[in-house]
Amino acid sequence: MLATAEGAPIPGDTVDADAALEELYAAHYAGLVRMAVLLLRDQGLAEDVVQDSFVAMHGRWGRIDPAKAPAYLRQTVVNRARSALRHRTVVARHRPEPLPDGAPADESVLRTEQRSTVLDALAELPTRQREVLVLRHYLDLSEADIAATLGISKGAVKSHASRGAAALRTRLSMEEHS
Amino acid sequence: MTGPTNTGDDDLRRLLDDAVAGVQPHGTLADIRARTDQETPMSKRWFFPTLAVAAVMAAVVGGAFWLLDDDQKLAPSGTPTHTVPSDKPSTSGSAGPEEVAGRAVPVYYVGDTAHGKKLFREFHRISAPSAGEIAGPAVGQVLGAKPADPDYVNLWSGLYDGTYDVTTSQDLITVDLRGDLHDRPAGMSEGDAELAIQQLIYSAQAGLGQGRVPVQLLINGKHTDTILGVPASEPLAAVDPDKVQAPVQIDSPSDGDEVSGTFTVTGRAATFEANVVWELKQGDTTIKDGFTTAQECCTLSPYSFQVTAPPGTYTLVVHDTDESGGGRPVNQDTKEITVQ
Repeated sequence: MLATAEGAPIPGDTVDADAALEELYAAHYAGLVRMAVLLLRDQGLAEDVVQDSFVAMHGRWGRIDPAKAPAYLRQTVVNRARSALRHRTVVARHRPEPLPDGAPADESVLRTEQRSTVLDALAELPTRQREVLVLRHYLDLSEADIAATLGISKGAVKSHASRGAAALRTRLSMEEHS
Repeated sequence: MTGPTNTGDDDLRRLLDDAVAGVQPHGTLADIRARTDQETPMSKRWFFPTLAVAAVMAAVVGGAFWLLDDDQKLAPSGTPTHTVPSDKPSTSGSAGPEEVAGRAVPVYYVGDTAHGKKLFREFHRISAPSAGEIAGPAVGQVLGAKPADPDYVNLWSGLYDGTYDVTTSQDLITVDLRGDLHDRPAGMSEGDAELAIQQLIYSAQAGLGQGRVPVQLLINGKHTDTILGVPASEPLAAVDPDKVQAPVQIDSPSDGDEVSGTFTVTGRAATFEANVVWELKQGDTTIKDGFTTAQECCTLSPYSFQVTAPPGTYTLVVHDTDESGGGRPVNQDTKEITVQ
């Protein structure tokens, strides 16, 4: 029913890069945007960062091991998200709802508030702790993969993970009681 | 590896999943491609060898399907007249907000449940204005598009083939239909006619995104006492979602989607003790299964969970639980998906 990508080989680097981009987009775009929303608390910025990362990957395609492309993409998004945060001059602490839904009319207000609470709490954590928590608990990466993605030691991953988890839990329970 | 000792972190996993489960990413491959084309001007036209199916219908949200729209048009301004989107997007209009190819548009279709026919929601990625409300495109999908899930039907299929107007304000959505729609067509049951009207109401309201705004239906620009035999002189309200919507629905992935080895399933369920059970099947064999809970019990509310599976083609089944143990009907939604 569905033709396979292998069924239509088209020679040439550009086409390879394009084909790879197509596949990677289909497999990872939505997930990376969601991950970036966790890191940035801002969907528009998250989409920009992820799109920039795809463009950057496409530009360097000849120099990337295709098998490692998803990891490369992930790392690019994390790095770019970090610099986007650094360069954002004003971080309004309680910005308006950052999550325009396909069907906002259909989702409960409660739901939206809970999401915002989690994103707010994440945004208040130190950058490294937030990155480690997201890579570990949202992407389910191993400690070794997180260490490689962030360029830090496994021991550092462990300590950021436990401190981040404790801090996040504390913030969320404080929210609940306030 | 997080290892088996970290079960205490499941709450974090769920919190993070939940926090972004409702994010419907905007931006399409076309956006990215427009920029890579600038770097590599020799880049060829795109082909979509694995996505042939997408060409025959509106692309569906979920990450794997999208529609690359060759002839993006400017959206009409003011009170647009739309044509039923059988193949091309609306071509009328002059200046207005720019259209994007991949806007997620909510649309309601009809499927069977243990409690009879109910509404199910899908998201279609279609050309739509890049910002603002999308009640018009949502109505267009009801009147002229096919559901992506073959388990669903569109009660408007074959009924409508014309233009329509949708105008919106804070407190009223007006949907102006054309043609001979006053009476219930032969062969359509009263229940189906009412569900067809609810398809329009729910889709228009979801597209507007301002809550349950009443919907005034017109025929040929005029008020009418009935549409499809359903009283329609006054603005109509949505029927209580717990009565008219299917109690277990999968929003994402969509039927036919290709997903990565670890993927997130989102949807809504109204179940006993908020229990939601899922299975990933190949034929009659269950490859993976698990359970989660919806946000709230007993009323339609969001759920999400993650699945990791080896490459292959599967049927994803999400269902409620038979809490009595006594043969209570089980409601479910299913999606055929491919794990890459």
